[in-house]
Amino acid sequence: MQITTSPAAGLPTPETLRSVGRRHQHVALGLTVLMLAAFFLFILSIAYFKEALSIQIMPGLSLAILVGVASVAFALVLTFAYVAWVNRVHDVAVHRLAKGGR
Amino acid sequence: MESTFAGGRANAVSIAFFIAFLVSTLAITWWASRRTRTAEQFFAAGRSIGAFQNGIALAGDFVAAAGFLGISGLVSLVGFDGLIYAIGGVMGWPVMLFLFGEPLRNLGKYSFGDVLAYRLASPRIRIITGITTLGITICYLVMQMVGAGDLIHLLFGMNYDVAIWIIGGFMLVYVIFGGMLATTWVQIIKAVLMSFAAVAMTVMALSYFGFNPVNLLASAGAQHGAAVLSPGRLISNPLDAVSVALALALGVASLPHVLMRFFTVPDGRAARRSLVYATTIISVFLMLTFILGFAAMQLVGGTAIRAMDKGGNMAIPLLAEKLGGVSFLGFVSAVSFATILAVVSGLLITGATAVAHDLYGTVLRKGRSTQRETLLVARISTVALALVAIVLGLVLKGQNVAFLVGLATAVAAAANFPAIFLAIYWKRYTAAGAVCGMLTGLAASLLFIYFSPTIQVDVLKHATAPLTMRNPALVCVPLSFLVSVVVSLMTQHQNDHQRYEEIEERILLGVREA
Repeated sequence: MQITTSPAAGLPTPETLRSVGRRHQHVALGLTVLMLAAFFLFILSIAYFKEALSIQIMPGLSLAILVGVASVAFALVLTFAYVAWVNRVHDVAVHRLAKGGR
Repeated sequence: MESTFAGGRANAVSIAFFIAFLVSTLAITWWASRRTRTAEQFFAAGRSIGAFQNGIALAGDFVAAAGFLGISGLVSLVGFDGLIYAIGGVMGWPVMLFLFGEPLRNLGKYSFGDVLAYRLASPRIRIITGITTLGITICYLVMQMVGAGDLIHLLFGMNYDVAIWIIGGFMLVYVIFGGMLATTWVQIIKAVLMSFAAVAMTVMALSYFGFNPVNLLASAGAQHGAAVLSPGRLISNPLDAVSVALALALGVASLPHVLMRFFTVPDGRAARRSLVYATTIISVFLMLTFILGFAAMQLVGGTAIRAMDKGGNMAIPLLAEKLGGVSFLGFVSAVSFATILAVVSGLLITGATAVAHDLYGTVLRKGRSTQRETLLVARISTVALALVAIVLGLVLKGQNVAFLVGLATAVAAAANFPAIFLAIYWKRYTAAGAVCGMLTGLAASLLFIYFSPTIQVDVLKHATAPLTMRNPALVCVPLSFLVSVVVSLMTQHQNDHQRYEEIEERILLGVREA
């Protein structure tokens, strides 16, 4: 898999529909990798650290349950972070470019 | 309390609730039928579904009876282990949002086959997307039918065969007359009712524990030992666990009946927003089923739950009766029935779309079929698929069909996911690469499952199986990616890059500018 990155990164090049699209791709792929990494970490920790996860922080609240709830919370955090970015940055740029022709 | 469970036979309240549900959904179908005259209206509800409504419907598709009754039931019997794979299902939703939400809506018309056909400029790719869609949909339908027959027998004491015919008949009516519009609203009504039931039960259950879930967990830990609060024997083979996780995270994002809902909203933005609603609802719902599972463990008890059904499916109905008496049990039972109806209807219309739009309209008639013709074929295939589902449901009574879900998710992850992903994100992807990659994913998953303990030991009752792993995703997903990439690189065409630039623009701007 190969994704071409725009040259001259760092310079204030004018935004094009293409560069905005590329940036969206990078964000989408990055967040997906984060999500999958967190999930595999969760599964592997269950497979390899059973004893540690059975420690109870307070009666009833085991580390396993905390980690499980944290995984779901992390999924939600990523979801809302993405939405916040898309609304504030991506959509604004696409809208501007679409109006200005290109 | 265990011996006087009012479920297992019809009670007046459950029948009243259920009839009310059927009457209102039939009214909706009648209303929808007057708005279902074109192919766009039949397959995509005329793009009239709002983002929030679609979010509820998506969540409803996902949280089927297996989610509501199955997961809580499993938690009530084994504790924490019941949750592990449920969390995996949730993880698929953000992935779908990040990768597919907007691009798919902006590139496609009614199905993900449109996306591949447009991106690769190859109408014939739909033969394969049509086959995987039909395969996945029929697996799911059959699994739902068989599960539903058993469940309804347990809940209402109704004869298995009668239950199958009722479900088959109603799903047929919803889809054939009301198309996607009726199917979506049936799903929304059911999802709202189910959420109400789950929230009400959670509040009532937590009232026994000072409205603090930790007290509930502590009481479970004190009574059954700390083991119920921590991982147990579910994950014994880490490779298999990672494979299941991969299948869930990628497969859920590529299930055709879920993807089809992207096309019912007005634009890519709405598709994205509906995924955010769906992810939120599903996450909250998962937390509720978790609490309800432990509540059933404490308030009903594993012995009573197992006595009704070994798999734990009756934990929620038993808990409902304990918390709210016979009338609440009636409500929950009716909602469970409604859930099955709503989910099978969504599956049925997805299968009909694959036949009428992808296979007939675009491949066989090469896009020359008229609206009337497409709609007629859609309705005929709806009847045919419904009959297949009913007959298989009746034939497979009492059979172990649990492997069908794993198979369907694995095929979605290994055949559909690489194809959709590469179509959107890789500019060198070619039609030949897509065909070979998808066929490899499909064939490899089928072969793998056949030689795994899932079929060899569980179904065929052999002592051992050639493979030790049960889930194919860890092998088949990378294999499908590899074949797609290698074949694509071997079959480059001059204008592929240009084509991709056009696609990139349409992903961002939608159809009008393309």
